[in-house]
Amino acid sequence: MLTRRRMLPCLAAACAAASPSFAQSGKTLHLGAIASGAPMTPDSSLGKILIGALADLGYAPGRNLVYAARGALADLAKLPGLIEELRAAGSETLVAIGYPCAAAAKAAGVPTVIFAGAGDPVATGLIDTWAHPGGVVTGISDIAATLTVKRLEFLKAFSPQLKRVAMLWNTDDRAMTLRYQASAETAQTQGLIVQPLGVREPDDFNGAFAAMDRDKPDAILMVADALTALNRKRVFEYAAAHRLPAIYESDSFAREGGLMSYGADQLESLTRAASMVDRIFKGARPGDIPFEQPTRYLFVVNMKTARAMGLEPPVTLLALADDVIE
Amino acid sequence: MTLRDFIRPLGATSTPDGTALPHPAASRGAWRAPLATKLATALVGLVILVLVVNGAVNTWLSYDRAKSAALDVQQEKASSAAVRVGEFLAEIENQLGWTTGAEWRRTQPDQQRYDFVRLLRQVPAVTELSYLDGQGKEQLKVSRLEPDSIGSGRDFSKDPRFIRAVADKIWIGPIDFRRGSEPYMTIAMAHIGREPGVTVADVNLKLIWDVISAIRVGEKGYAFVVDGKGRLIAHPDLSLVLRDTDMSQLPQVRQALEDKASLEPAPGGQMMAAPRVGTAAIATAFEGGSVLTAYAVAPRTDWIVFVQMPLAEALASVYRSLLQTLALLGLGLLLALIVGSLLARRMAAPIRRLQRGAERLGAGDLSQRVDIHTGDEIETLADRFNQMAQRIKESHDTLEARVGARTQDLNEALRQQTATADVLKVISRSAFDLKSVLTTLIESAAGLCGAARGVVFLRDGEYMRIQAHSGIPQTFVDFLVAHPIRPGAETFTGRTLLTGEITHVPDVLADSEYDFGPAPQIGEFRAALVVPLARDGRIEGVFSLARPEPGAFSHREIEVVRTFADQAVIAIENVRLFEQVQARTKELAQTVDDLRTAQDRLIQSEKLASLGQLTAGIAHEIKNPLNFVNNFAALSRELIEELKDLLATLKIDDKTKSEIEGLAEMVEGNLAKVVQHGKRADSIVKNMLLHSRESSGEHRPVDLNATVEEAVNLAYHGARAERPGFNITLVKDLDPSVGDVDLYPQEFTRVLLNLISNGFYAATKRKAESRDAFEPTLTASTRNLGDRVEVKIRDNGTGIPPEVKDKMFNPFFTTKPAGEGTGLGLSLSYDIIVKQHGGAIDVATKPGEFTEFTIVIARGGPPR
Repeated sequence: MLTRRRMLPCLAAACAAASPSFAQSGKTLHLGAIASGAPMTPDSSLGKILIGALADLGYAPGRNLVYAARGALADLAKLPGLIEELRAAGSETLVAIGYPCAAAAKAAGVPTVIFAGAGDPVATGLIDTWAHPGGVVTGISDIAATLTVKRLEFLKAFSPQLKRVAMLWNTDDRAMTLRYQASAETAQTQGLIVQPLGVREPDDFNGAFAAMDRDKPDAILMVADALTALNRKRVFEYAAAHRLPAIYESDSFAREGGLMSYGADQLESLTRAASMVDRIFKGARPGDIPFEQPTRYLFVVNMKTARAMGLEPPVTLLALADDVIE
Repeated sequence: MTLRDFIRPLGATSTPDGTALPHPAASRGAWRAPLATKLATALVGLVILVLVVNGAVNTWLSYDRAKSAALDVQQEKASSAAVRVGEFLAEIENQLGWTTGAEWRRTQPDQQRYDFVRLLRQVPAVTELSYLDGQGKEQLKVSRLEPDSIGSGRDFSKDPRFIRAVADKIWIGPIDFRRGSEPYMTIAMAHIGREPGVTVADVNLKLIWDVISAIRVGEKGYAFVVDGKGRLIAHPDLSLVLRDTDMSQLPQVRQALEDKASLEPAPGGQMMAAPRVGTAAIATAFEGGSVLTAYAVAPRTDWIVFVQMPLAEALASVYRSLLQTLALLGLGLLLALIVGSLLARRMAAPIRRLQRGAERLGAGDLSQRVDIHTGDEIETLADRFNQMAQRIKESHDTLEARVGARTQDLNEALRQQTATADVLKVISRSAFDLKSVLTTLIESAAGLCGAARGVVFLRDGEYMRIQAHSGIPQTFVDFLVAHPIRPGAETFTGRTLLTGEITHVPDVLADSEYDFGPAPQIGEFRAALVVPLARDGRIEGVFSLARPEPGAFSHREIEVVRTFADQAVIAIENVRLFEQVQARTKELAQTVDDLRTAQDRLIQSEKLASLGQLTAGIAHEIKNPLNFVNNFAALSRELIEELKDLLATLKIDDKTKSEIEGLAEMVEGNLAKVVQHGKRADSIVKNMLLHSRESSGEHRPVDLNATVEEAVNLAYHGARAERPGFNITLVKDLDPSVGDVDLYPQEFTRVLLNLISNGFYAATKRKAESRDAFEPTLTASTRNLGDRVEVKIRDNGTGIPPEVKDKMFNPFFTTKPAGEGTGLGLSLSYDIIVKQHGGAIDVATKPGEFTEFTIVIARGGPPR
């Protein structure tokens, strides 16, 4: 049986073969990428994956695709303006990361594919139902709220004496707040003490760190969103300095210096998102494209970080990891 | 465009010599296919027929083959797709098999968990694994999304996943669409051994997509999977699956759902149960369009795997072969056309030559010969044609000679007939001019007999005198006039008169009896023919014809002359009858005229007599009372004078006196009016008496001019006496040759005076009306008309309107104001002129311009 990783490119190729793309039609299509954090430029890690997935479907920037990326850098108020900017530049379809972007795009009425950070889209009101989103937004949900429990489990597996977890999230992001609440409830049922560290702006991190200094947690769980993602380095540093095991929501964090991550495979998510964009380009309405769930979740452990912190993860945990960064 | 239309221009332009001859048949109205066209059509048609039949058979066969092959292939594909779907499940089962060994139960929970985690890593489709012990209690659960749990003890002993798995070793649960979109399924597998536990796996069926997408069915075909209820499990378009699509609406799916139970497992099954394959069919795809579809039931499930391929793709080879056939057909057609037209042209050329030869022969060119050396039947045909042309030419020449002779005869007869007809025409046209009729007859007879001379004699008592002649010198005419012929043998005419028979002398010199002096010399003739003109046995005259040279007249010529002679007899008779009729008609007309005149006069005198009696009676009866009225009126006037004198002596008051005087004056005035009108009545009565008088005086020859002049002067002076300011220009235009005319002078003068005074009145009236430089004029003129004379009185007065003109001669009709005319003037004038003098009076007028009275009377006086 093919493994998931090997299958994906084949899958994309099959899609490309099954439906001849617009590459032949000679029409130039505009795709905008909107992020609430850093813009998803073609040379960023997510941008690269997206462009690659689109290329497999026959879209090449500069040939038949105009790709424009904008990021609000955590200033969510800018989002409507940025979407307008993208639209003015010709982008009729958007790829979005993060619930605020999708919500802003929905408000602007632009067909949008959200590939990460959507939370529970029905609960946030982004879509009507999973099978028939109904509006202008479709995409992939990483159902991170349930995964938080799994993340706590991994934290606990890393340090079995875990009692107290500090949770960092952006209180301005409704999806993230929901996720925090779900996580906190689950954590409490498992006998854990959650130390809520809501932040609203970069300066709040100092306060969060100070709180942790005062009341030291056993581990950190960072809920990913624009604000927290932009300030990840500070969290990494703080965790390293205080030898706190930490877990993040996607493998990119672990690869950039985070200790552990557990979340939907971004390659898969972006490949599916590219496929949805392709369908929208071909005339499908986003409201008719079912909102999907990821099928693959990656557990990544960064051994370099672990060693630098002087922590040794249990062998059983390492055995569970899909990827161990040496 | 039919084939025929297509070929026609080709045939029409391909004449052998390259010129575009108009098709001969075209002149005959109907289009006929040239031979070349027919041959080409036949050839091309044959080729097309063969190609079409061949192509159709080929196409049909290849269609059948391709279809059955495609169906076979589809079934095979369906089978293999079902196997692959089965493998997907088998793989999961295989992996689960790791945990179903009898000894696995006894391993440490940590080890068991580790095995489960490994299993999850191995099988991406499995999202959750749990282990139920022999009592159906959950001992271990490992999940990708939820927290793992060890020894939770949840009771599944009543759950089908436990019961069914224990019973059947393996249980494949129904499809469950989580959150309404993600298809999940549970597989439970019983462990080996007594009181077996069960390993339960939650499988994300989205991952069958990988399997399904990898199945290639031709270029555009694909495979999809439905569950036992027809719900879509896997489809290359993931959205359809996520939307929980019900495929049972498709007929082929419905059919498959009905049929799957009865399907036999395919033979040659391997270890794994071979899929049951349904028959392939042509159906409509979910997204529309015709597809070739087949299905197979995936092993150990009730899932049905469908494969489908667009019909067009499946039958592509058929289309290709059809295209080939069509191309071949086109090529064959083209070749057949070229070869056919070339061949037809070669065949048709000599036939065309023959045809044109025949046409020229038909057009009259009998010397036409056709030169063909093709060495085949056509050459033989050409030879025969030439022979035929020769024969036709020979018989044509003979025929022409005969026709010439016959035509000459006919012409001769026609000439005679025409001449006869001409003669008859002349006779009928100038039936009463005997001389011209006879001249025409003799001229025609002479011409027809080839005789230079011809004479017609008619009987005049004992003698025969020349009446008409043709072609003889004047000296001979004079001779014949001077020597009328008597019956006797010395002249030919005389002989005929004697015998009543035709005298025919071929040579005058050879006739010993003949003795007519120098006639043959003067008349310059040698042969003679005399035909009698006989009516009722009596010879009225003869036709005498002569030729300057000797020779007998032919029988036909004699007949012609006899015919003409008969015509001459008829003409003579006609003239005689006509003259008789004319004379009689003249007599009758004279008689009728005399009768009519007498009748008119009788009526006139009757009328005059009765009118005269009437008026005289009336006048006489009125005369006496009128005298009383007049006389007593005059007397009463005198008495009034006396009354006035007496009144003057009376002593009465002035007022009464003046009233009485006034009354007396009025009575006197009235009496004066009585006297005046009484006198007028008297004059009317006098006039009436005049009317009644039949003839007052005697008629005698009178100088008309003098009478007219006298009347004009009298009228003028009378008018001046009556009206001192009267003036008019008088014009007298008197014809001196008129002389004396027998008339009643008194009455005639009276008429003239009447007309002239009317003219004066009209002219004066116009002058009074016009008030400009109008000069009233009256013209009196006379004219000698031989036995009649004419008198005209013309004025340039007011003229007479038409309605007056009709009635103006009626008695008592007048246009003058009351008291000025009696209305008897013109009535009286009419009576005098018409009745007394037997003449005529007429009027010409134009209102506003003139009036002219014309009197015409006989010079010799009134008819008796």
